[in-house]
Amino acid sequence: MTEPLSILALNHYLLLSAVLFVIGFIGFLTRRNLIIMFLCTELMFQAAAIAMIAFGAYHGNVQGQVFLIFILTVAAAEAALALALVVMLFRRRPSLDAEKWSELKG
Amino acid sequence: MAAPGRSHVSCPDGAPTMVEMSIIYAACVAGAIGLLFLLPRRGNRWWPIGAVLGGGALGAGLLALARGPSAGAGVDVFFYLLAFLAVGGAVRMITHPRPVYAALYFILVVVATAGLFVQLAAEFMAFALIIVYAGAILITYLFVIMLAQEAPDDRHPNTLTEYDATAREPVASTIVGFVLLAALLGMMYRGTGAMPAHAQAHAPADVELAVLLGKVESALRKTDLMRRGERVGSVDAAQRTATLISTSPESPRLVPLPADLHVDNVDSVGVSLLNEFPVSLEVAGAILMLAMVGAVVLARKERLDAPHDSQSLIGNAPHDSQSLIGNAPHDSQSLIVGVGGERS
Amino acid sequence: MLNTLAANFDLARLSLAPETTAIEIGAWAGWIPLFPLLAAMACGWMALRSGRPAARWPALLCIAGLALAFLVSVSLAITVGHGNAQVTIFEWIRFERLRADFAFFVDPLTSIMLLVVTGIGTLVAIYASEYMRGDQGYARFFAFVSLFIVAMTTLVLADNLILMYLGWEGVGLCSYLLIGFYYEKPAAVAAAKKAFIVNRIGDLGFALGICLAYLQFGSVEFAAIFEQVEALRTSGAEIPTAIEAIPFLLMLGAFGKSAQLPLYVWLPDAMEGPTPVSALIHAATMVTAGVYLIARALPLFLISEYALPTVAWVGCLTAIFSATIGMAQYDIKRIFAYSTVSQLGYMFMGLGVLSSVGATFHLFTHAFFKAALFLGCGAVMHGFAGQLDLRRLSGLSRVHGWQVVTGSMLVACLALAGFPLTSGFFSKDMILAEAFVTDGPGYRAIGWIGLFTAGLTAYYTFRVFFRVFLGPVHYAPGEEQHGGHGDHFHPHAPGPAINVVLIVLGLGAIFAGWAAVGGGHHGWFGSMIHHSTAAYEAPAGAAHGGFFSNPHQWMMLASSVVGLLGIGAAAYLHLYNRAAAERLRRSILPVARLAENKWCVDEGYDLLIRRPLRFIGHVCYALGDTLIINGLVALGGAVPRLIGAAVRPMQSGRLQGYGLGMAGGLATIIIIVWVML
Repeated sequence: MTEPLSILALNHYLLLSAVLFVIGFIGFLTRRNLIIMFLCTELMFQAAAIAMIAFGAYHGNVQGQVFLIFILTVAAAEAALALALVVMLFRRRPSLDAEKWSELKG
Repeated sequence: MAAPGRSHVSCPDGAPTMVEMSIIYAACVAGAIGLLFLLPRRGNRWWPIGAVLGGGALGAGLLALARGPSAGAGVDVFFYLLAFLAVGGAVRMITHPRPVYAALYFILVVVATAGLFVQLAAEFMAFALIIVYAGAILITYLFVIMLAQEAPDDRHPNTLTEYDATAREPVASTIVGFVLLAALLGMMYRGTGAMPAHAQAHAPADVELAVLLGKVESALRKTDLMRRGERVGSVDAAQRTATLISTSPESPRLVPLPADLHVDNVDSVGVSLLNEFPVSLEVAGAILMLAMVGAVVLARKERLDAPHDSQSLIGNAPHDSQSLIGNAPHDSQSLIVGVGGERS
Repeated sequence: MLNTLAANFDLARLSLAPETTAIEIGAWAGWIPLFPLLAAMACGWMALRSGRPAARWPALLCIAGLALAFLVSVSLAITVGHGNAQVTIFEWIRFERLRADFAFFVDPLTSIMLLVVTGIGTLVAIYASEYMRGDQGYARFFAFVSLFIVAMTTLVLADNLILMYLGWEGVGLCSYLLIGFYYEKPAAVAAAKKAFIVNRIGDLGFALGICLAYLQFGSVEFAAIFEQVEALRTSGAEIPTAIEAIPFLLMLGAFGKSAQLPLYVWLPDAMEGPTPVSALIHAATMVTAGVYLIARALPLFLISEYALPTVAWVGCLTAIFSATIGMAQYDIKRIFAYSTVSQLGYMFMGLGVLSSVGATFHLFTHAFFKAALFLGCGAVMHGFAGQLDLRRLSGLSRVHGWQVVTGSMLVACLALAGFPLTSGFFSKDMILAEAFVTDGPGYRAIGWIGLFTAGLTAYYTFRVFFRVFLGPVHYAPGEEQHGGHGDHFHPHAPGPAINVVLIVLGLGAIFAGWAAVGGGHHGWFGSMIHHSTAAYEAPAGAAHGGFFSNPHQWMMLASSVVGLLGIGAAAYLHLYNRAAAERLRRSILPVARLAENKWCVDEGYDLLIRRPLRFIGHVCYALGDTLIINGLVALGGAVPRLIGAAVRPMQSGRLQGYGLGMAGGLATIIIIVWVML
């Protein structure tokens, strides 16, 4: 295994992680296409994954990577279900506009 | 774009100075403005300004990072390159009006992230990421994008739908997003500032060899250190010796390990996964299983409509697709009633 | 059921009664309110069950309950004798130091009051069984009457102020219910409300008095209070002002309930109720509750040197004031109502001049003759279709079947006028004589005013008698005359029940006075009172000897003369020369008008109290209710609505909106934590 990450390098990775997360979040908020919204959540997963791996490298163990496996699991499951939902919704109403699905408002 | 153009003049413990914090905030504002110009809208003629502002800030920021005081922080040029690719791909992904391109830019982000993982000596995760994300998930996305595309106008095949072409509340979202970024960065520096510059000395190298007896044995067999009829009884990773046991009278006997025998990343992850998180591993499997069943249940077609509605799946006939729901088209106005109608 | 705990309550120092008390005697007391209570419940059940019971069961039940209560009272009076007893029926209020049990205290004063209440109550119930026959609310009436007896006996028997207050409010409630008995009549409803509201003023005083007594003495039980009062008086220490205020507050309650100035206005209006009620509640029993209160709490009143003179003067002024109004009225029931106020004034006068014997004795005799007068009025009203105007009734003694009524009315009028050897003669003289011999602020003047009032009393009493029962026979039916009879109206004479009751009451009106004659000081009655809490020992050496030097004998002569003068004046003006009365009225028309209008007291109260209060109410309504309260309520509704209007767009159902809020909230929390840490 290579030398563990220094705190300065960790800051670099965390910075990148935060930036990617926020970009994904802004995308989630601004885009109206359901599929792109889900893509943005995947982008936020990526940001979390970078932070996870970077912390693992800093601490010099592989638990961050092991945890990423679980994150990947959840992401895959989420993607499968979300896309199934999108297909179902699209069958109901031929549009991917998230604004069209606001009947559940309080 | 928003990658900070900060000259990293931080203290050795990683806490940013006031100057740095000011630069971070300035970068947040610049990034916000750049992103605003880039977000999709009808007749957006200002996107070059956004591109120049955001891309320039990103590139200049990364360059400054690379040349700044933290150049010797243990990151090499590939980090900056990959970070540029990742952030640029992400920005492009959320700003591109067409979903297919967004998905492709996301693959770029995934690949860049995988490169960063390699930088962090997480080779297994890097390739797992590419296989799972770029290979499986993104392909699923592309399938769905193609399936769920609205009927293109034959005369104007490149016409964008309204919801793809315009962003929703870009100003408010950008402001909130970058306020959140500022908050996150603030907390982050605060947290890492309290951590030691280098982590505690980790466990001795190759300590996992003690449990990887099969790996040691196969490595030993490639040499002539191991005789027929012997097997590895135990491994002392610290002394780099293996105890070989057999039925012969001289058993057990100690042999040195080959010098090129090391534990690689895959070994570490596997040992950790199976030794420390066996239950979580099982749960993850169950989750995947459930997700698969759930996806099948959610996305399956109604058998009643099967002969007629296959084409409606690709969405070129809105009225037909409405009839998918059942006998009452008006039911489609309500999700809950619609579900009931579908099940009936 | 009766948890008899007869405590050996030693009032020896107060009542100077060394007799020991038998343990068992008090056990009877619990039955006195119980019988009427059972009757009230039964009658109430019948009243609820059907509007109009065919049988006379309610009356029979009520009479039975009241008669049993009377019998128990008689036996109680005999067994208790000059002693006293205490019975705890059950524990009622135990709160910190406050101890108010449902406990009865029986002494001779209680016995006398019980005899009057249950005795008169029984007679009135018998009378009403005929009088109320055919009325829609027959069962309801008897339920209320029984309930009244329950409350009144509780009031009389109470051994603490709070239980007394319970009975006090109970009789007030029954009074309200019975005044408003004919609730279809607006006048009756108004009178009921007036009685209730005016009584509230007095009752507030009473309630405050109870609170103050509790605060000062730490107890509401008479025995404990009297003990402390006696200790205070004998110690010679200065009496705290707060304690001196207690009798004044209690006095206010007594004035309200007993219709004294300035709270008397409700009693004449209370005549809207059925006449038996007027006789029982508003003449004989309930209105004397104030007198009873002061007599019972006399030791407490002796503590302040101004309390009893105030009582005396209020009683005296009330007596003459209402007598002057009574002189000018034409409604015979109202005349007797003012007469009641006046006689109650005498009783207070008696209490005030330290003639507690005289006051209670007058209460005793007044119960008989005033009940007889009212019941006689009721008979007239009953027979002449509600006619009560003495100008439209004349010579009833010569109408067939009215002889018993005439006779009993004559006896009762004589007693009220203080004709020699009738009951009123003895009792009134006792009070007046005491006023002349007792030292006090202006007690002589009180005596003279009382004497003069006695003359007025004799005049207006016989004005009624001479007008209605003597003279030429002519009469006109009242408003309750049903159509179809045409010109020939036949009054129907009272039946046996009414006549028997009137005879009994008439006999009582004559002979009740002899209860205080003979023996030592004021005979049997005097000895009874001297062994109760109302006892007051006149300073030794008071002039009680010789004929002219004995004030009682002197007063008997004087008041006989005054009474005869009044009767003579009435005879001249209203029997022999009725035209002269009219001429006299003309000659003093403004005064007569004013008196007929009751000196415009009601109008004055309206102007001075009601209108300002109503104005304040309107102002409070406009400012407080409409502006502030309604405004607050509206604000309470508007604020959430505004917040809702502001926040509702956020509930758009769009996922991203929620995401935006979530991120904003997260950022805010992070920044707050960041800044704070």
